[in-house]
Amino acid sequence: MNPYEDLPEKAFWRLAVANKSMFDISEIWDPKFHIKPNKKVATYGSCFAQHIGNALKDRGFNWMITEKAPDGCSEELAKKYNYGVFTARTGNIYTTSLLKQWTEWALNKKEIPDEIWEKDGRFYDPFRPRIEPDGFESEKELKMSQSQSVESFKESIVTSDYFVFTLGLTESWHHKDGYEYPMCPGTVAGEFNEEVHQFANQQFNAILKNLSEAMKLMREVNPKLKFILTVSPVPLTATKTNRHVAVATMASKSILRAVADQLASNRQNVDYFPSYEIINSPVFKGAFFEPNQRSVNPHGVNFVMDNFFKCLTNKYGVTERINKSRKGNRAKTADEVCEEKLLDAFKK
Amino acid sequence: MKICIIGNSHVGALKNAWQTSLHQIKEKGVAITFFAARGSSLKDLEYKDGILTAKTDKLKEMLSFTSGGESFIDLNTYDVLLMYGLNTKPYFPREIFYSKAVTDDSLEDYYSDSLALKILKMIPSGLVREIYIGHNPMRAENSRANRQPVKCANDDYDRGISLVNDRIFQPHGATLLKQPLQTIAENGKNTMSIYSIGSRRLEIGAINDAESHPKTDRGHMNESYGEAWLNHFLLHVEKNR
Repeated sequence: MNPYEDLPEKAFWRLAVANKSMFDISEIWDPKFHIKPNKKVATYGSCFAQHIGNALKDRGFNWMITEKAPDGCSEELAKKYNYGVFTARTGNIYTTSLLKQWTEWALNKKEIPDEIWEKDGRFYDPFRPRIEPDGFESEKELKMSQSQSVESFKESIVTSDYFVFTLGLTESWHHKDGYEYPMCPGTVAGEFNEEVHQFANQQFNAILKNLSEAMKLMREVNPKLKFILTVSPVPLTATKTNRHVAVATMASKSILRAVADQLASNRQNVDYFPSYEIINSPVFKGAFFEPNQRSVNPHGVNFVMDNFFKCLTNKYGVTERINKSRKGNRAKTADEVCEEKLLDAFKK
Repeated sequence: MKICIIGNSHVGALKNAWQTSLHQIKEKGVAITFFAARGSSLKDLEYKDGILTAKTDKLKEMLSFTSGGESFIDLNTYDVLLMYGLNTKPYFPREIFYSKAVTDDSLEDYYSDSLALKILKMIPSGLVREIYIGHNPMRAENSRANRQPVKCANDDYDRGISLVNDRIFQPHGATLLKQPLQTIAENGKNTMSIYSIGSRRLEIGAINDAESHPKTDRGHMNESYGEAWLNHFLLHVEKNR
């Protein structure tokens, strides 16, 4: 008798992987929480996080939207203005430090910086540079919109049952005064100033600390809140480190994956869902990437999310309630709102 | 004063009320001509030289039947134009902040199915001195209880009307009117149920003319509603002159 003899099938590569079609691989996730369809789920993070919200909605789960598009607004228009992309209209939150920054603003631990970018008479939010495609008509309007999103973010922290966060990047841009931008100034909007704007490729300890602190702040106002972490499988569009983008991507994702694992392994209120592995593991042969080997094909997104719900059902017998009006659109609606993609425009 | 009212099935309540009551107003010299067709048949109107004409014979017949013999709408001959119903919904803004761009674009979306707005856009500005829009009645509340009218629970409706006028109708020279306050249910978002009881189909020369709407129909209103609405409208017009 040895400790391996009683292990389940999923513990053995031959049984769990080698002997199966990749489409039959099962039990890839052992969910910690019984997410019932009526429980409120908030979703934030990098580009890939957007798919989780839509998948929840499609399956009749309670994807919480605290900053809704106006009544009667078409889906296309809502998306144009970034409503219904995340729970509140935060835009992408790529790093754990950005998540902490949003949390501190929401809980009045820190003031939102006054910085505003102006171009051709329109005003752009440095913390949500693409939130309004043509900018705001005035500084006042921008500030009111920003306050609304912070308030809606707060509402989601305070009232949700589950907070799903997709870790996206380690590379980040900061103002010398200490606050962080989601995108390097001068790329999507604003102007880059090397005296003011500083690059940081965040390392394991800082990422772990920021995420832990953000979670702690959230649980102070909502002690029942549980977290589900995922890591975006989408490679970097560009790296500011001096490394090859493939090497920078692997380093970045490995660190984020390690942080997620550290927290999920050691905390009862944190789980990790392996969307990263489903897309990136050699087990799945890179089959879910588009030909550019960066974007995830809508079928890949569906495969990831099908696994999410299949694992929940297998463990807890959750009955998903397919939203019939959206089911047929699942594969079509997988295109995402992603500022980081815009860095591709700067390639020589 | 000559008033032209163009509408779909919802205008039946107004037309029936005008035919059976409101005698005092008629005595004051107010003349109303109705041009109506059910559903979205009025999408087949086209404009030329101050006149709205039907593109189909079927619509032409309905215009003639509902107006009492006029198969086209000569806008030059009216002092006031009201477009009623025509898939124009009331708007209830959410209590969160939206930028002007979001508000404008979403209202365009919201009213993209409004036949009243489509017709309005065909009419050159200044052709008719006063143009008003009456939205579809708010759905009647579910309860058939005969409740007393109360003040709206919130100001969403007023804010919505004001916003829609500012961004959608007034740029085209028209004013969206509120439905009479006394018809609005306590929740501020429905019509009191007493106004939907006994509603009848618009008469267009069809077999089912003047039939009662099914009991489950909470979208169409009765003559009492029509009377309240017309009184409210005519008061507004009079005040505005």
